Amino acid sequence: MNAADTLTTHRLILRRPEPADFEPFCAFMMSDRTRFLGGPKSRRIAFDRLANFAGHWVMRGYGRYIVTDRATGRPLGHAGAFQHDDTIPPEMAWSLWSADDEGRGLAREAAAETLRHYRADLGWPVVCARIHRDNAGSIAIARQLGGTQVPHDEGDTLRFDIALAQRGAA
Amino acid sequence: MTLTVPVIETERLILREPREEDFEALVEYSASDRLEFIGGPKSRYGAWENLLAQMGHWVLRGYGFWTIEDRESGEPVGRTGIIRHDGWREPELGWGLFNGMEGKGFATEAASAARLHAATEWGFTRLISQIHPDNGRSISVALRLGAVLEAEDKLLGEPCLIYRHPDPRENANAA
Repeated sequence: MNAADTLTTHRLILRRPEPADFEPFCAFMMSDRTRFLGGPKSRRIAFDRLANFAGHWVMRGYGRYIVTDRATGRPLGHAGAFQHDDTIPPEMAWSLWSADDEGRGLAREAAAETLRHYRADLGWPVVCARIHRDNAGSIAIARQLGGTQVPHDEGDTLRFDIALAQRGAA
Repeated sequence: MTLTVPVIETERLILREPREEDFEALVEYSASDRLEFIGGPKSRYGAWENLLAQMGHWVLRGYGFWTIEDRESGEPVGRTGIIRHDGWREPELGWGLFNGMEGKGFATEAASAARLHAATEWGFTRLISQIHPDNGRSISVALRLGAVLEAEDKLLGEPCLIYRHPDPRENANAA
């Protein structure tokens, strides 16, 4: 079953990637905000990455949503699950593209809505997040979303699993 | 926004959208020295990212690379289509055959069909192909397609020959 093309929260609309997302996404990818994600990256890599987002939707029927401001439509970031590696659960991302949009809980709001959808509508049992050990902001969100750190042997990367079934029982 | 990729049939081949079932052939191809001139070889993960990016290119640009399928066997034999990564001077006609599929004229047949579709449907009447000067097989395909050497330049730090294709609608009319 495919994920919804659009999700709506109090302040946000999450939708599939579009061509016009490239410039703001590129600015993010070229900034030091991607320092914990292997960046900064070039424009060319940024284009291929956004194409990756779009392609994952086509191939898997779910993927990274572009998080937009519900009032203005402005793209703010991305959130949602990927599945590259079948040996681990679907892997979450939540990123705000500009520091100006931090501090209001927008990344958590977006990620929480995708998790609600994955649990309630798709029946997924669990997702994971792999986060650089120095990325305190992202680790805090993982914990707020119910993530539990699990053993993971990958250098400076920590893994958090977020059990969705338990959330449903609450 | 969903992916609608046109299907093109030639005498021996079908050009259709990239699919996950193409992945293993792509992994094998990506790991081989056949990617020497186009940024490879790539790991299994690199091949996966490449497959996703190929699909996403259609979404972002409205055109992209098809998987070439052998009508007789149903097997994927390679890729061709129009690509414009960020930083590309203009859209480019490209082609690549998976391992063991060379020597049958598949690249020429498929790229010719892609080129005609690009001209008639998307208005790309005089496409370029950017080819490494040491990539003799690909240069041969460009020449068989009637492309002419227009310039020498660099692409991603590597030397590159820029071939310019004729307007395929003229050939189609003349045929």
